[in-house]
Amino acid sequence: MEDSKEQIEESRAEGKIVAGMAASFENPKELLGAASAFRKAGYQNFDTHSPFPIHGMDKAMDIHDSRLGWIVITCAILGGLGGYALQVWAAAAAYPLLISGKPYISTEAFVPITFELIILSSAFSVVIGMFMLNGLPKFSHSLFTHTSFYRASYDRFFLSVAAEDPQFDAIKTKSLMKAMGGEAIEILYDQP
Amino acid sequence: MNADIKEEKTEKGPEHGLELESKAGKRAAYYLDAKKLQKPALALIILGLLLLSTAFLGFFFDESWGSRGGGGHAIMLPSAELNSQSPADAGAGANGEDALPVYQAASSSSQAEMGMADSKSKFFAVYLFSYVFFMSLTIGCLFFVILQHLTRSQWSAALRRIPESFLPVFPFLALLSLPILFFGMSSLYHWTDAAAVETDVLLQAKAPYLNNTFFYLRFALYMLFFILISRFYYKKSVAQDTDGSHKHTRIMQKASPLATLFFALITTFFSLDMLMSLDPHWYSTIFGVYFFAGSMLGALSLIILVLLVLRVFGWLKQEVNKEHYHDLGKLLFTFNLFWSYIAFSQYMLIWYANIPETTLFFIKRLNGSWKEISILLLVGHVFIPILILVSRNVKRNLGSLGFFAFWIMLMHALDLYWIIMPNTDVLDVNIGFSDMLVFFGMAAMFFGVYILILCRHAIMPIKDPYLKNSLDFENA
Amino acid sequence: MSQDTSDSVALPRLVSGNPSFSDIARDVTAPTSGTPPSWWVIAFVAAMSLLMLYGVSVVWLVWEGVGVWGVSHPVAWGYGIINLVWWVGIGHAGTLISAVLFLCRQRWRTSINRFAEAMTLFAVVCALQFPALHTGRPWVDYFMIPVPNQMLLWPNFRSPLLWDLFAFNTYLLVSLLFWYVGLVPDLAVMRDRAKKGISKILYGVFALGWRGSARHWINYERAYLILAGIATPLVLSVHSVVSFDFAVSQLPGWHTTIFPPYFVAGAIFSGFALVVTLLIIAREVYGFKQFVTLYHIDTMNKFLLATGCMVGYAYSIEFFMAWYSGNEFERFAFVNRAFGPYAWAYWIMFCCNVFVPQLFWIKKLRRNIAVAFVISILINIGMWFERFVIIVTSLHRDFLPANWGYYIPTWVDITMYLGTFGLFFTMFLTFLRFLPMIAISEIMGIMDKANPHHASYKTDENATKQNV
Repeated sequence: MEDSKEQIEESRAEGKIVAGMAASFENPKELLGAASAFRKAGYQNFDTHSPFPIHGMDKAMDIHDSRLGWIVITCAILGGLGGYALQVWAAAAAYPLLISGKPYISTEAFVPITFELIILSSAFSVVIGMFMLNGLPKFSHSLFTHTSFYRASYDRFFLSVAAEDPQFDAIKTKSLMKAMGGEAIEILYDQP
Repeated sequence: MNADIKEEKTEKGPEHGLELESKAGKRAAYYLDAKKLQKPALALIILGLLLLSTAFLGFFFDESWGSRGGGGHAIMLPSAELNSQSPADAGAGANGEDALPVYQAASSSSQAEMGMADSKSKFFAVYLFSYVFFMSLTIGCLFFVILQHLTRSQWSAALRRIPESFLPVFPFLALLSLPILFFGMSSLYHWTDAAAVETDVLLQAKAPYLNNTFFYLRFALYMLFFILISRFYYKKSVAQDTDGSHKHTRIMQKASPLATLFFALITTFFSLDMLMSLDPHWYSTIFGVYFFAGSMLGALSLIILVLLVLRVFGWLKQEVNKEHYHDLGKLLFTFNLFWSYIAFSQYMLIWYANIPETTLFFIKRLNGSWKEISILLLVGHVFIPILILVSRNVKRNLGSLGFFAFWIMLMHALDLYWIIMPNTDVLDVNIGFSDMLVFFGMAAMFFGVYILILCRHAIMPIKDPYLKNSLDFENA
Repeated sequence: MSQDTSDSVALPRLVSGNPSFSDIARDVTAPTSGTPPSWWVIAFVAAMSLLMLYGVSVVWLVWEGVGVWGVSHPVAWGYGIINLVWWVGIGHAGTLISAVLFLCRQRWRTSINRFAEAMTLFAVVCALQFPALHTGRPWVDYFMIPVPNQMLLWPNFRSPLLWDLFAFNTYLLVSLLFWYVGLVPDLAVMRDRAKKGISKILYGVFALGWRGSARHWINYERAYLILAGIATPLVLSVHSVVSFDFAVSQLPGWHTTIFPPYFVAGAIFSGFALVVTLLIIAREVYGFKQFVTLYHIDTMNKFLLATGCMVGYAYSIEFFMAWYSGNEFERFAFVNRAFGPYAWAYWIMFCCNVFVPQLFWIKKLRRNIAVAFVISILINIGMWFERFVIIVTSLHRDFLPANWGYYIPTWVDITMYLGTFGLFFTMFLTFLRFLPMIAISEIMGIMDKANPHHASYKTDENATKQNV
C-alpha cells in the first residue's frame, strides 16, 4: 500500500504531474459496484470507462441528465426561422418572380426547405453540442498513459479518479479500488 | 440502449409476477365491479338514446329548433361556373379571398333553391360526423391491438385490454349506422340524386361505383370484416385470461399480418365511401391514409384518457406507470407528426397543381368562418402538439399528457367536422344546441356500451406471457 | 431454432454462441487487418473498371453536352432522374434501420445498422451524380445554391427541384453525421487495436480521443437518440420531396396525392432489398453468421413483404382513383401504363414488387438464403422499373397524339447507370476494408453479459456468497 504513495512523491520530485489513478475491472457488474462504492465514499471527480454504455451507471455515479436537448431545440428554431426568412426575402424582396400565379410569399412552397434547414441545423447542433459537452476532441489525456487503458474500448472496464478530487489519497483510493476488484491499478500522469 | 430490464424497484409498489392472479384477494384488483357499474352504464345508454331522439324529433318537427344556416346541396357548383374560373383566379382563391364572390353567389343561389331541405341534411351531417368520429376511435383501437401483435410488443401488455375492450363495440356501431343508411343517404350523398347524375358527366362516370346498391353491399362488407377481426382479437385475448395458454398469443401474432392487410383495405374504402364521396367530384389518393392517421390519433388519446380515468378511481395505478404513459405519449407525438405530414402532402399538392375539381375542396374550407377552423387545425393540430409534446417531461407528466390527449382528441374531432360539415354548412361554421345533443347522445351510448364490456372481463390481460416484462418495462 | 416451436413467445437471441467482448472486437475487426483476401482484390478491380467506364461517360457527357442522353421530346426526363430516384431510394434503408428501428427498440438492428448506413451514404453519393451532371455544365452548379452573386440572381424557392437540392444535401450530411457519431466508439477500438503507426494515427484522429467515459456516454446516448429522432422525419421528407418533383405538376399519372408516402414506402422497400442482397454476400464471405443470424434475414424479409404490400396498395389505389376521378386523361394515363407500349415495363414492375414478395408469407422461404437473395435482387429490378414506369409512361403520350413518342436510352445513359455501380462498390469495398462493418460497441451492448443486472451475474453472486 505504501508503494503508491512513495511512487507519487518520487514522480513529483521528477517533475511529473500526477493526474489521478485508474483501475481495470473484469466486467460491467464489477464496475457498477465500484462506481457506487466510490460515490458512497464521497468521491465526486471520478469516472468510469467502458466499451459501451452501462445501464444504471448514471444513477450509480449520480450524473445529471444531459442538457443536449436545450442546445438542439434552440438551434432548430433558429434554423427554421432563418430558412423561412431566407426564402421570403429571396422570393419576395431580392428577386420577385411570378410563377404559375402563386403569391410571392407562398408559405406552402417554402415548407420543405424550411423543414430541411430545421433538420440540418439541429443535426449539426446535436453532434457539435455533444462533442463540446464531452470536451472532445481531446487527443492528449492522462488516461492514455495507463499501460492497459487501450483495452477500455473493447474488453475491460475502467474506473479513474482525478487527483483534484478532495477525497483523492494515494493509499485510500488504491485500497478502495483493490477492495472492489480492481486490477492493473496505476497512477496517471498528465501528458506533456 | 440496453433498457429492457428494470434495475431498482423504486416507485413500483409490490412485486408483480404471474403468480398474482392466483391470490383471490389480488385477483379482484383487475375486475371492475360489474354490479355497481351496470346500472350507470345502462342509464348512460338510455340517456344517449333519449338525447339522440330528442335531437331527431326536434330537427324534423320544429324548424326553429337549433340555429340554422347554409344550404343542403349548395356544395355542387354548377360546372359552368367552375370552368369560368381561370387557373390564376383559382390559384389566388386557394390562398386568398379573390375567388369568394363567385363562390358565394353560387352557394347562395343554390341555398334558395334548396329551401327547407337543410334541416334534415343538417341532422344527418351531424349524425354522420358523430358516427364517423366514434367509428374512427374504434378503428384506431383495432389497429393498435393488431400492431402490438404484429410487432410482438412487450411493453404494452399491461394496458392492452383497454383498447381491446373497445373492439366489441363494433356491432353496436354497425347498428348506429342504420339511420344513415335508411334515411340519410339522400340528404348526405349528392350522388344518390338521380336528377343530378343525369346532368353531371363526372357523376355518370362514377356511377358504377357510387350507386346505392353497391354502397350498401360494400358497407355491409366493411362492418362484417371489422366485426370478425375485432371479435377474433377480443375473444382470443379474453380466453387467455382463463387458460393462460401461450398458444393464443402465437395465433394472434400469426394472424396479425393478414389482419393488417384487410384492415388497411377496409379502412381505406370505408373512409372513401363515408367521407370522400360526400363531395363526389373531389378525389385524393392519400385520403385513406389521412383518415387512418387521424383514427390512430383519436384512439391513442382515447387509450390515455381511459387509463387516466381508471387511475383516478384507483385502477391500474402501479401496473401502468410513467414508462407506459411515456411510450403512449411518444406514439401520440409520432402519429401527430405523421398526420401533419399526410395532411400537408394532401393540401400542398392540391394547392400547387390547382386543378379545379380538387382545389374546390380547400377553397370551401378556406373561406367564410371555415377559414378560422382551418387555421385552428393548423395551429392546434400541427404546431402546438409537435412543439410541446416533443419534450420528454411533458410526455412523462400525467397531467400534461392527459391534457394533450384530450386536446388532440378534440382536434381529431374538429378535423372530421371540418371534412364533413362544409358540405352542409357551406358558408359558415354553425354549431347549434341540437348538434350537441346528437354528438353527446352518441358519446353517452358509446361509453355506456364500453363500460358494460369492460366489466365483463379483467381490465388487464392477466395471463399474457409478456405481462411480466411489460410491468418491469423501463424507457432508456 | 427454439422460437419455431408453435407456442414459444420468447424472442430469439440476437447473437448466437456466447462470444466474449474481445472475441467480438477481434471478429468484427478481422476483415480490416492483414492482407486483403483475393476475392476482395478481384471485386475491387472490377468496381474500379466500372468506375473508369463511368469516368469516360461523364467526360463524354460534359464534352458533348446532355444531348448524348436519350431524352428528347416528348420524354424529357429519362435515365438521369430514374437513376437518381432509384439510388436515393436505396439510400433510405440505412437511416431507417438506424433511426426508426432504434426508436422502436428493435435491437436486432445492431447487427446491420453500420453496414446499412454506409450503404446509404454511398447510394446518396451515386444519386447526387445525376442532378449534378444533368445541367451539362457542372462547374456552374453553384447557381442553385442561394449565395449572393454578381448577377443578383436568386434561386426559385417555389420549385420542387430546388427543394431536392436542399433535401438531398441535408440527407447526405445528416446521414454522414449519424454514421460518424455511431462510428466514434468503434474508431476508438480500431485505434486501440491498431499496431502500425499510420493507421493508428488516422484512426486516433477520427476517434477524437474517445475514452468511453460514463459522463460522455450519457451525452452520447442522448445525442444518438435525438439524431434518430430528427433523422426519422428526414427520411420521410427526402423521398417525399422527390415525389413532389412529379406530384406538384398537373400531369396525369404524376399528380396524385398519395405520392409522398408511396415513394417513401417504395424507397424503404428497395433499400431493404439491397441491404439483404449485400448482407447475404457479406455474411457468407466474412462468416459473420453469429451476428447476422437467420432471424435477422427473416425479419428483413418480413419488412420486404410489408413494404411490398404498401407499394401494392399504392399502385392499386392510384389505379382505382384514376378511374374514380372520372377524368378521361387520368384514366387514359393508367390504362396506357398497363396496356400501352410500355406494358412490359409495368408488368415487370408489378410482378417484381408486388407478386414476388408475396412468397415471403411462407416462413421457409423467408429463412432460405438463396431465395431471399434472388428475391431481393428482383425487387431492386422492380423498383428501378417503377421509376421508369412513372416517369416515361406518363410523359410519352401527351394530351395530343401529335406529341406521342417512344423513349429509347443511348449508350451513354446505360454506361452512366452501370458506372454508378462502380462508384458505389468502390466506396463500399473500401469501407469493408477499413472500417468495422458491424457496430462493435452496440453489439456488445445487447449481449446479456453487458447488462450488470442480468441473471447470469446474480448466480455468480450467489455462488460467491456460498463460498464465503
